[in-house]
Amino acid sequence: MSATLTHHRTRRLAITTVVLVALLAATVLGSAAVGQFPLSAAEIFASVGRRLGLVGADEAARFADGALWNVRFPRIILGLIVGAALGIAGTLMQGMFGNPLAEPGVIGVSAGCAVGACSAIVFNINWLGEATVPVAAFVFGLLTTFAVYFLSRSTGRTQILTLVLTGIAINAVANALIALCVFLADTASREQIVFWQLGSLNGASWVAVGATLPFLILGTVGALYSARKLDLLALGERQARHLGVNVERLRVIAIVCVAILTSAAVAYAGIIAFVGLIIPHLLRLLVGPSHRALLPASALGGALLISLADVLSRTLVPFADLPIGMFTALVGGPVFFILMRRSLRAGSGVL
Amino acid sequence: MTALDAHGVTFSVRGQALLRDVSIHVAPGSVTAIIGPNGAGKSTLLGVLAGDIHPSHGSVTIAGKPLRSYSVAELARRRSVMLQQSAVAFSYTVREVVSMGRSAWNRDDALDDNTIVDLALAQTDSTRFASRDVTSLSGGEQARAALSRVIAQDAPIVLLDEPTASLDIAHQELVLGLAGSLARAGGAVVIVLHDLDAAATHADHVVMLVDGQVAAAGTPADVMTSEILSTVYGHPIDVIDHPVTGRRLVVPSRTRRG
Repeated sequence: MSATLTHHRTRRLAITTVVLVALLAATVLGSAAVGQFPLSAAEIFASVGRRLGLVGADEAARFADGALWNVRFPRIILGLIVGAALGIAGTLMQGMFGNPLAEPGVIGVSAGCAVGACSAIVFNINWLGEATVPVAAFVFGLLTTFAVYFLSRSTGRTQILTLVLTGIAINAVANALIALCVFLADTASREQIVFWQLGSLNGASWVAVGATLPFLILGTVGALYSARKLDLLALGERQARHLGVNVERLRVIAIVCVAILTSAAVAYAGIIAFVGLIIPHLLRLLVGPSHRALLPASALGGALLISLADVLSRTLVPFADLPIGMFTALVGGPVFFILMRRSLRAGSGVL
Repeated sequence: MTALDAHGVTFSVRGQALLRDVSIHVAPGSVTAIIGPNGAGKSTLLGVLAGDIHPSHGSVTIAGKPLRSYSVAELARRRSVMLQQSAVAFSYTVREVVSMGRSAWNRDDALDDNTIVDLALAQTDSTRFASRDVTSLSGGEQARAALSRVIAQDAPIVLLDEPTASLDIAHQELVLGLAGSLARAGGAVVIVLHDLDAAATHADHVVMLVDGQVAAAGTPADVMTSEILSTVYGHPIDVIDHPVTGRRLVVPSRTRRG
């Protein structure tokens, strides 16, 4: 064993970062260009220039500016935010559970968000106007996560198995409540709920971008703060404690961050499954498991996956906006299976 | 100097006492072996000494101060622990894992950290696989990597739970010798051991647990007599002198079939 794995990983991290950034830039540009009103790269750059005051006004490009700044850019940016949030949330979950196949949905955040959003839709709650549904999702997501956490505590500590099983129980209750909402809903609300559950960036707006960005920043800061401690947690809970990690506090921080990030992602875009599961797993194979490298890489990877899926969802069927969650699940399911088979064969024993 | 003491420790789970009124003193500069039959409470005692398990009665002190008065990080600078289970969840390199031992210390001198990690790897004969993925190692190699991590932690109190369980005979001797040199450097070392002969040779002090109680404690010569061992383990055990070196040998009485 001569060539060191560490050197391999440093080089791979650099390459992976460059490739992800390049692909992301290309996808964003492509996403801005395609649609019912196709635009060239030159037109897009000119429009950005006009907005920044670098290029003079052009009355003929009014329509292009409208399409870009009112529709496509907020949608693209929301996609980046949602993807990055899901990527980081997934990495946090996997680090916390010490299991590469853990996902944010396990502890019930997504289902909790869905209950909040569905209730707001069905009962026509409208206190916050446009923001009511997303805010309800935020609040319920956080409440659910804390409920799971405190219900699963026994003798002052949280065992992973208890946490997962409590998550299952909470998920069951949440799904029953969603079913009740669907049953009670009128036809229009029912459609809205179903659509929301499938996940889409159709509802993107600058309001949505402005509301989710602070959550992404907050969650990311918390995640990066915990990065080194999450590495120690991979040795086992007791071992991490022996090395000076306050495991309980680390877990609270990680759970709050997961709830913030997942709620932020789910609130405007609905349930987009598998991003938080596949992206960290794939990138761990490329850049290694160290969370200081993995967290930023997963943010980029998640953003790329959502952006790509969104381009597909907008262009595959003309004049239709397919649910984005369908794409991530279609890609995510098989990839997940392949990864699972591979780690079973490698005998890593962490399943 | 940092001594570790347990004062009348009792630990019960659902009315069942796993440890009963256990008191031990681990002096700096010595190796203390905890021996006893299966289910005697050896690992439980180690967990109590490490601060993982809070005793129902009694207390554990480091340098005279109760364990609970230390923060998690302060504790990590005073005692290191090697558990029987040393599997790692993700594919870190062995070197990365050993470097994690340094995490409780302030990183104002990363260069120094590197030297300590290199030395810790060399001491357990792990340098060879330092750049390998830790999840790809054999059980014995994982144990050596975990021990390197413990050494890199550089704490005055070292608690080892069956560190030799998965090692070949040469590495068993290496690890037990290492425990001795940690003690000679001023460390207070506690080892849970099943190998009675190894305990007789490498320990300065032996604590024998039976049913959660200290059945005997003292020097190997005091504790490890044929009478005491045979009674405790329910199997005849001979304690004899090595015909050449004169070292005390502890060997189970075995009759050859046929």
